[in-house]
Amino acid sequence: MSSATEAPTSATAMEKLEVPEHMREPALIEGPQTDRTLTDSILHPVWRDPGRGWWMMLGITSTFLGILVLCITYLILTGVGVWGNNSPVYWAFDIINFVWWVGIGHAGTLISAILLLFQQGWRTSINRFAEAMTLFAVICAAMFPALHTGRPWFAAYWLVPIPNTMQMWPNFKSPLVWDVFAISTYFTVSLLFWFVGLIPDLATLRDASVSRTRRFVYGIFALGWRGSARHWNNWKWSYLLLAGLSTPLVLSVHTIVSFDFATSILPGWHTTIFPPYFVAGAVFSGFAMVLSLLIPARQFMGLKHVVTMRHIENMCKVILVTGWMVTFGYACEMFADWYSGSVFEIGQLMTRFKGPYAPLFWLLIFCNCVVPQVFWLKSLRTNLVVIWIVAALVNVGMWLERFVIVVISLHQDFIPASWGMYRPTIVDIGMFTGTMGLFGTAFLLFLKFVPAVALAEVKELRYETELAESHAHGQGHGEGAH
Amino acid sequence: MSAAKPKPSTHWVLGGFKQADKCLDAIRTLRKDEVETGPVELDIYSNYPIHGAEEALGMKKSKVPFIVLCCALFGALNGYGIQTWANATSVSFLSGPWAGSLRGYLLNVGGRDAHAWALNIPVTFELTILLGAFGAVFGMLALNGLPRLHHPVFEVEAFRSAQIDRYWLSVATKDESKREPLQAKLAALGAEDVSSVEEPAE
Repeated sequence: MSSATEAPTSATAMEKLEVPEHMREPALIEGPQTDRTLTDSILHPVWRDPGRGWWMMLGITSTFLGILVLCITYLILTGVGVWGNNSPVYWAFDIINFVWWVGIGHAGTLISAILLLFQQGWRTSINRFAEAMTLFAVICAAMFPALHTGRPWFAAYWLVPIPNTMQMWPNFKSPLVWDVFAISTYFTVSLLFWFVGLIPDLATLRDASVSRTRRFVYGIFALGWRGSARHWNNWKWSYLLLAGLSTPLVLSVHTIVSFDFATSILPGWHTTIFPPYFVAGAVFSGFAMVLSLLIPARQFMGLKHVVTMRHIENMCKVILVTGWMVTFGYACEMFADWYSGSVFEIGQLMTRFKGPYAPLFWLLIFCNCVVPQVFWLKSLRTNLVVIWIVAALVNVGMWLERFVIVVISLHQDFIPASWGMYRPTIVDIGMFTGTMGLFGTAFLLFLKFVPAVALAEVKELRYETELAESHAHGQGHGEGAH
Repeated sequence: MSAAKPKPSTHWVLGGFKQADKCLDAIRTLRKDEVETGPVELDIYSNYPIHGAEEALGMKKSKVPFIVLCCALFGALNGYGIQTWANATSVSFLSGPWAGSLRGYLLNVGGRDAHAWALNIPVTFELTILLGAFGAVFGMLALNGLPRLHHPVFEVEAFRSAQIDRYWLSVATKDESKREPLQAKLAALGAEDVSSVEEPAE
């Protein structure tokens, strides 16, 4: 991995390269590490008692999860009328939350697949973490459209082609059906990709565990992996091809999500810029979410030697770039509205600027376009407190972006007589915070039971860095540890 | 049931190494000497893929890419086919008492053609990816013979270090007389842990 070799881990190698102190990039793996120390430190959070902090966090997140269960039960027993959606705003929190959660998932696939294809060494210790985030975010997302059907137990007939006595088939010309295929494929492929990467680590968990129960349980999930060269030969191809398949997939998912809007004729939705700008926005919010979770997690789990400042700084740079892509998208959209000359398009734009929801629009511009600019300064993009606040604001901004697109476009369309206001109900808010509880609970369980950092891949990165270094110094092949 | 002659059991001779290149060198030596030791089955075990293992073992290129291609093409056909069948099939065949027809659910939305190929692309694409991914994962597992929860090499307690920080190699032979010389050879080649396991024939 080329970028890994640029950052030698030992002090002697750095002196020979004679890079000035202030220009040296922090290493991807800090300190002298061996396979044994990496195994011990990365598996430590799995073996140790999770501690009071973990239980307290789990208490909070599972309370919100409970609220989610209550809200869903009430919704199913009563009907979707318990939400605030009504004429003319028939789509609101349900689709906003759906798009927001799916977008968050996108960073996981970007880190695990696209950065793998580009051979970016810095993806290695954050990919497992980000992929888990993808899985849980997609679960949260998928819940909303399923519940929005009102009778989710019938949804199977409406959404997927199942032969049935009613002779009913889905309308394959509808972007909503494309969405079903995109999201279910995305979830399945992300799960498989995550699991394939996890198999070698599960085998390490099996063989490093001291208790019989753990050895048995991890042994079952490891499927009998022996780490044989034959296994690795097939595994490497499988992993690479999954990355190759996931790359166009992740671009297609948010493109198809944006078709839900872009194929309609509503001013504010009917625009061709949506697919690329939805994808950029998804990556933008996803990286913000990875940072919001990673900064506290690396602190509490003792993972600072494998998730270094270099990883964090690179993610800040991605946020800065995608923030500009999103800003460019807004500018294009506004230009197209003005250039169209259509009174409805221009009217919609003016409603965003000055209408009843205008404060939310300006807050969105502040969070997504202004706030990320602090990352131009190295001192700020290496300050963990600043990064965490920016990441949180970006997540707020991206949620508001979907609110602006969905609610502002719907509440004032062509005929002033049909204009109306939207206000979320307590069930709307309960379900949104509830999905955060579901996400948080799943994430805390993940941090406890599986290594949050891809152990085998980090060890491989260390081995490759060492090989490259020993070649550079003419010492032949790697000689064990440093 | 009484077998006339019991089948010979397989003997697995295992050696653990501290360094990857020593393990690879040992494999190369063993392959060179295969002529004198007779046919043996060699393998390397490590907790991440090590460079040069494929060449040292003389392994062929993995079949996973071919499996993925086949599955992805099947997915594409399936995706396009099911949409055409469901939304655009209307055929009558034969006549008289054998007359029949095949009719899907011809939904007219906005006057679009029943068979509007461009609108079939998203679902076709997604199913191509989905089945391709199934091929990549289940193909890999099948080629690796997984899941297989038990294997003779797991009988050696020290073999657990293969998943932590050691490189192991195994030599499998049906000839019991080779067991001792192979163990001595592995020790001479630099293996720190040498042991052997007998796998009785079925």
